[in-house]
Amino acid sequence: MIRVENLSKRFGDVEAVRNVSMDIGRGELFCFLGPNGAGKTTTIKMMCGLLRPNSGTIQIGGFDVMEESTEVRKITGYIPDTPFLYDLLTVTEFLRFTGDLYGLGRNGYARETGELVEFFGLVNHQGSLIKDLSHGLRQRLVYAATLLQKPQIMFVDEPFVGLDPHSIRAIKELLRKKVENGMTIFLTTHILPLAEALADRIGIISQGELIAVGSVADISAKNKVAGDLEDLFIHLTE
Amino acid sequence: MNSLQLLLQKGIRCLYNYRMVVRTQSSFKVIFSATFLVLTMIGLFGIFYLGFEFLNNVGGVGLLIINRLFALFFFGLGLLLMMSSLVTSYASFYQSPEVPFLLLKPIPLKDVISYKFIESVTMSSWAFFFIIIPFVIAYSVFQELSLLFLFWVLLFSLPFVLICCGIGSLCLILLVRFLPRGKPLFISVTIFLFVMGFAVLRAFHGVIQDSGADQMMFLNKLIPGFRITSHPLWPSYWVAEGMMSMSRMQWGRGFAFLALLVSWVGVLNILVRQFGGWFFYDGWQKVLSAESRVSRKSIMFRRFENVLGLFTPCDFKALLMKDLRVFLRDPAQWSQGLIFYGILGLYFINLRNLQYHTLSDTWRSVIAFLNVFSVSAVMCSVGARFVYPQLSLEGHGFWIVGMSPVTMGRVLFSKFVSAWLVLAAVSFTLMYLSVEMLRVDSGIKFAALAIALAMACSVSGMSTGFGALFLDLKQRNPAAIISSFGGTLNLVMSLGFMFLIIVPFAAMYHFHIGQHVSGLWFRNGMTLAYLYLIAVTAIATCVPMFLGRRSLLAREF
Repeated sequence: MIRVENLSKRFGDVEAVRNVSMDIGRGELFCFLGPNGAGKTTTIKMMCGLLRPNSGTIQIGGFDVMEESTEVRKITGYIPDTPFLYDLLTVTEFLRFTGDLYGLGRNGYARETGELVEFFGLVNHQGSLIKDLSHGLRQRLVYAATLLQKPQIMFVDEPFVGLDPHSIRAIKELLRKKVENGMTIFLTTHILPLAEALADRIGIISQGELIAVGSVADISAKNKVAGDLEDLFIHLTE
Repeated sequence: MNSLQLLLQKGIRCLYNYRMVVRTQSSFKVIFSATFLVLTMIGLFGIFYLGFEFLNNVGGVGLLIINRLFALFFFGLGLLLMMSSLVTSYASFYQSPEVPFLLLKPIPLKDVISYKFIESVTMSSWAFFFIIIPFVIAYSVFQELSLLFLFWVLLFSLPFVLICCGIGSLCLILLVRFLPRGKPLFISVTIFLFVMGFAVLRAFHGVIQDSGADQMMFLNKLIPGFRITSHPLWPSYWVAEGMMSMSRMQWGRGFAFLALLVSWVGVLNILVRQFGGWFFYDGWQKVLSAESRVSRKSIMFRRFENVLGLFTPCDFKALLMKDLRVFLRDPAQWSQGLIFYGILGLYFINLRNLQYHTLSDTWRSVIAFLNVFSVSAVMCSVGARFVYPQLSLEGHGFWIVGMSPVTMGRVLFSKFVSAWLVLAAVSFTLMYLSVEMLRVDSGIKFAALAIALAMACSVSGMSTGFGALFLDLKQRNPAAIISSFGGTLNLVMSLGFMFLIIVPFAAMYHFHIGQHVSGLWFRNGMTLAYLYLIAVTAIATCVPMFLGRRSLLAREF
């Protein structure tokens, strides 16, 4: 579903991403890990088409990100670390607006939102302006709006920031369920135990270079590191 | 419903929902803001009406000016609209967090461009309508025209606004795409100011050559200079001619001009969409990928910091330097200040080209004090626009200062000093330029410069003090902070103070030149005026600062 080949991106003299290549299959939850400033968000932004790579190719669901961006946008959803929301829309209005952008009809919208609004605990906030929501509720709304569009591939940058333990558990379960139903999820996080529990495979990027890809067990065996993901991560990125 | 319609519907919905925000405000705040808005409109109406009466009293040349006034008015506002659109389009197209959100949705890029263009037009043109409405009403009342004239003006203004903003947005898209990285806004503003300066010089070239001392002759010579504004290829000419034709019931001619304007709106719409489709994404990538080149500036900052360290305590210096760095590294902030003062600077530099220095003492005194008013009014708007929201914009970062051992009084004072230094330096220079160009009496020179310093002091004090008193750390949008109750109050108080201190000096010199007051009476009057200036400035500076400090100390963060 996601094929990245020799991806590079420079910002002036700084090479943020260097020759990154990876292949992620359908129904896979891939965790992209790395220290701060390693190039995780830049890579995700290039995959979504928000940043243009200096070199390399990205194919999402068989579509070239740069050449067929509209097709890519129809099948992907992106949850950034600091998502944008319209402060002066209510929860319901924002969800309806998102649904309309993706061509959900009135029936489709009604069918999809009811479940999502309930799942994310937004039932009592449907008439509230977004500006009045707490950080956690805003995050939940972003998830609801992204899932409303029924993406085949979801990019999530730091998915658990600002969420309470209940929400984190609910989202963990939701992500796993979506993956079992065939969705491909590419996520970045700094919470290594969560990554270990969730991911089918992980990729570790450091100083713009992809230094390891595979399951935690495979990478540990290859690098001869005993212990958990945290030990492995520290060992590889030191 | 297509994507553009959906986006516009969303925009209208947001606007409609704003009523919920208004409902949460106290009714006193809402009434105060509304009253201020209405009073400002009435004030503008009064000024325009008196202007028409004055021109009418001047006679022949004055009537000629009235006839050309609409072309001139729209020409000037059109240039400002283009500039304003250049700046707001940059924020709208390239800095808005909404853009990546929209680019990730399955919306055609051209629809995103059109939507952002409409947003930028709305943001850059509201002031245009705010000015044009009282102007037209004053003209209608003066000429005893029916209110239908206002309708024609608004009908013709709409395509005119779209044309000017379209040119501004189009230029910006091309500039961002093709100019060197990181500097498009700075270069655009500089080019605009140079072009405007050149246009003003060119327009008044004939006047420089052979103007006589006689005032009527001078005004007669001035008219050809205004011919540029009535050139048949300018949209301002089409608007002026079109609505005048409509008011004279020359329907065919009027509708022909309207059709011309509308057709150009269509052309520019196609151009903005097409060029936007071709160049926006690449330009946006360029802005995103631009490396922040701060190394050289940092050396300059460090040197300045070292010098500053010789005179100021370490914590105070740190606060000053932080504000200075943040301000200078945000082109959207300083570029607006540059436009405010740049246009005034261009006008003052051209005062001698306009031959104002050859006018009689009475006229030079009037112009000098009008210039004092304009510099002061710009200072009030700069204070309201940049200084007032400073503390609130610290936002969630305020804890850094709040938790440090620096006292709140010191934080506030550092904001005041940084604002005063910038305002005083720029305003003093402009005022000096104005009075030197006009070659006015040394007494007026001194008064103008003293007023500039006093205004800088009180505007800084009020904007900083009220900014602390009405602190809103949750708001990240500067426009919302500025248009809040505190922001409006600050602007009203600054403008009120401006009248309070300028009028006594202007009146004293007016009567003195008219030989109604002289000798000892004049000297005593001036002494009193200076004492009054010092006292009122001290009150206008210290009271808001005291209130602001008290509020900060009592606040829980």
